[in-house]
Amino acid sequence: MRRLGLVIVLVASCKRAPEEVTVGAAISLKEVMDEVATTSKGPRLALVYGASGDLAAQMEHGAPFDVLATAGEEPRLSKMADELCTLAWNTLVLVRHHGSPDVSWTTFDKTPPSFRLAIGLTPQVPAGVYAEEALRKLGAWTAVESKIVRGTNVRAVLDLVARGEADAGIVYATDEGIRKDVDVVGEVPKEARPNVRYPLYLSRVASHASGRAAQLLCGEDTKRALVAHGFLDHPP
Amino acid sequence: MSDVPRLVVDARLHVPSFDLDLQFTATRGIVVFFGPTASGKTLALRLIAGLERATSGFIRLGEQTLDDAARTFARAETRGVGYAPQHGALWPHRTAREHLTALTTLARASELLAVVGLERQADRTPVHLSGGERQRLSLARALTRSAKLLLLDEPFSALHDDARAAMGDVVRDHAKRGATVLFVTHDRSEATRLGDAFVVFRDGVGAVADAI
Amino acid sequence: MSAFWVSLRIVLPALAFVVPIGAALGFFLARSRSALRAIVDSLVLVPLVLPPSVVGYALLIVLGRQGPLGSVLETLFGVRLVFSGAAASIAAATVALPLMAKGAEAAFVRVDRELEEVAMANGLGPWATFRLVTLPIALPGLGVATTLAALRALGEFGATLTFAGYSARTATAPLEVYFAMQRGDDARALSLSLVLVVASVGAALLLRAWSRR
Repeated sequence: MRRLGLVIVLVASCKRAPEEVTVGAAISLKEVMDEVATTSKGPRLALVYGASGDLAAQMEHGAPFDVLATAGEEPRLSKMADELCTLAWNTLVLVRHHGSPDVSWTTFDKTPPSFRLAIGLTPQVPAGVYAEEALRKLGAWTAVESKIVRGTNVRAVLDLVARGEADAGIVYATDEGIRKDVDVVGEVPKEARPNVRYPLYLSRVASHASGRAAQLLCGEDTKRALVAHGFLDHPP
Repeated sequence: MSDVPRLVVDARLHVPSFDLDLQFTATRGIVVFFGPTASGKTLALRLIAGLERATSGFIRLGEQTLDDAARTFARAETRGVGYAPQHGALWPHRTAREHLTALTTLARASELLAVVGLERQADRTPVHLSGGERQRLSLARALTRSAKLLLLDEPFSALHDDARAAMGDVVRDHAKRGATVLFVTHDRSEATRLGDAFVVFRDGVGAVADAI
Repeated sequence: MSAFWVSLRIVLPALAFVVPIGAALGFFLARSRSALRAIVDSLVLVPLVLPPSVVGYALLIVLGRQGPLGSVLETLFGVRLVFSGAAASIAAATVALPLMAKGAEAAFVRVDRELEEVAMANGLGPWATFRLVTLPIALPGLGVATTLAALRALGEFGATLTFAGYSARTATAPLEVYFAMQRGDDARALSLSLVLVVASVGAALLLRAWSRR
C-alpha cells in the first residue's frame, strides 16, 4: 500500500513539473529576450540565439523549436509553424570603427579601395538581406560590392567593426551601444528604409505550455520591454 | 709507401656503469685490441671513431686532436678514417655497390667489391646477403676512403677459415701500404696471427702489452 | 566545385610550409637531448590539444588588425589578414603542423642510430648522412605524417571561420558544406560532403599502403 502511494505521488509531481519551452530567437533580440525570460511569470524559456536563417534551417531539419522569433519572414517555416503575431519592427544603422576613415550612406564611392563594409551573409542573415536591399535602393550597391565582407549573423557584423577588421558595418539600431570602438554614423535614409519586421512563429507540434509562452511574447509586457530596448512598435 | 700519421691516445670515458681508461701509441701496422667480452674494446674503438666523447684526456692523429665531439665528424672527412662496427650496420635500403658508391667513385667501388669477393652480389641489398657476405661488405665500406686509420670491430666473426685468411691478407696489405689498423677481437689465435702490436683490455683498462 | 579550388589554393601553401618545417621540428624532437626539447615539444602540441575555435581566436587576437603582430603587418606592409586566403592558410597550417612534427619525429626515431654513425665515422658529413641514410629510411613514415597533416588542413573549419572569416577567398570545402546547409542548398552540401568523404577514404587507404612498407 505504501509503495503504491509513493508511485502516485511521483506520477502526480511529474505532471506538475514546469515544462520548458524552446525558443529560437534572432540574435538581435538577445538582450530583450534574456530580460523577458527572467522576469516573466509564464512557462520557463530555453533560449537559443543565432542568425534567423540558421535557426529556420535547423527547425526545418528537425530541431525541436517550439517558438521561433526571427528578424524577417521565413516562408520555409510554413510547413511546420504558424505566424502568431509581429513581435516588433526595427531599422538599420550604419556604424563605423572608431579609427577608420569617415563614411556615410551616400559616400561609399569616396572610400579608399581597401575600405571594408561588413554586412550579414545572405540569404540566412536578415540584416544582410535588408542591408543589400537598402544599398541597392540608394544606388550604392555596385560601388560598394567589392568592399563588402560578411558576418555570419548581425552581432558578428558588429564584432568585425568593433575589432577594426571591417571599417564600417550595417546593423540594427538596437545594436547600438553594445560594443566599444563602434561609432554610429546614422540611420538608413527614409527612401531606402526596408521593412524590418520580427514575426513570431509557433510550432504546430507545440505543447500547451508553448502556446501560453507564445501568447506572452506577443503580449503587452513584452512589447513594453521591446520598446525600452529600442525596437519599434510600428513599421519604420 | 705513404706517410702514416701517428695515433696517440690517452683518454678516459665515463658512461653509466662503465669506466674506460685507454693509453697507447700506434703507427703503421695492425694493433690488436684484445680482451674478454665487455672489457671495453668496442667502446674504445667508438671513442677513436668519434662516436663517443672523451670525459677527459685526448686522442691525436698526426697533427689533429680529436677531443672535440662537435667536430669529429667533419674531421672524418679529411682525416681518412674507416670504420666497420661489430654487426656491420649495413644500410637496408642500399645495394652492396651503393654502399661503396655513397663514399667513392663507381670505378673504385667495383675494384673494392672484387677485392672482398662480392662482384656477383653487387646489386643485392643486405637482406639478400649471407652473414659472411655482409661482413665482407662492411670491410669494403671501411676501405673505401683509403683510410690512414682503419677501425675494425670483430670484422671476421662470421667468416669461415678460407674467407678469414683471405680478408686477413686484405687488411694486412692495407696496413703495409700505409695505415694504422685497430683490430678488435677476442679470438686469441686470430690476434696472434694478425697483430703487430697489442692493447690488452681488462675491466675497462686498455694498455699496451708486448704479447698476449 | 569552386570550393575545392579554394581549398587547394589554401591547403597547398599551408603544406609547403608545414611539411619542411614539421619535418625539421620532428628531426629535432627525435634527436635532441637538450632542455629546449621539452619546451619545443609542448609548444608543438598546443594547436593539437586546443579546440579549433580557440586556435582561431588566438590567431585573431595576435594577427588581427588590433593584435601585436597584425598591427605591425598592416603598418609596415599594408597587409590585413582577416578575410584573406593567407589567413585561411595560416589557420590550416597551425592545426596541421603538430601532426607533421609528431609524425616526423616517430619516423626519425625509428632510424637506427648505428646506421647514421657508421656513415659519419666513414667520412660522410652530417648533411650527406641525412640525405643518403636517414631520409630514405624515414621516408614512408614522413609520407604518413604528410598525409595526416594534409587531411587535417583540408578539413579545417573552426579556426578558419574564427580567424579568416567567410569570404570568397576563404570558402574552403568544409566551410562551404556548413554555409550551403544553412542557406538551404542541400544539394551542394551533400555533393561537397561526398567528395570530401571520397578524398579522406582515399587518403586513408594510401596511409595503410605506406605504413606497410
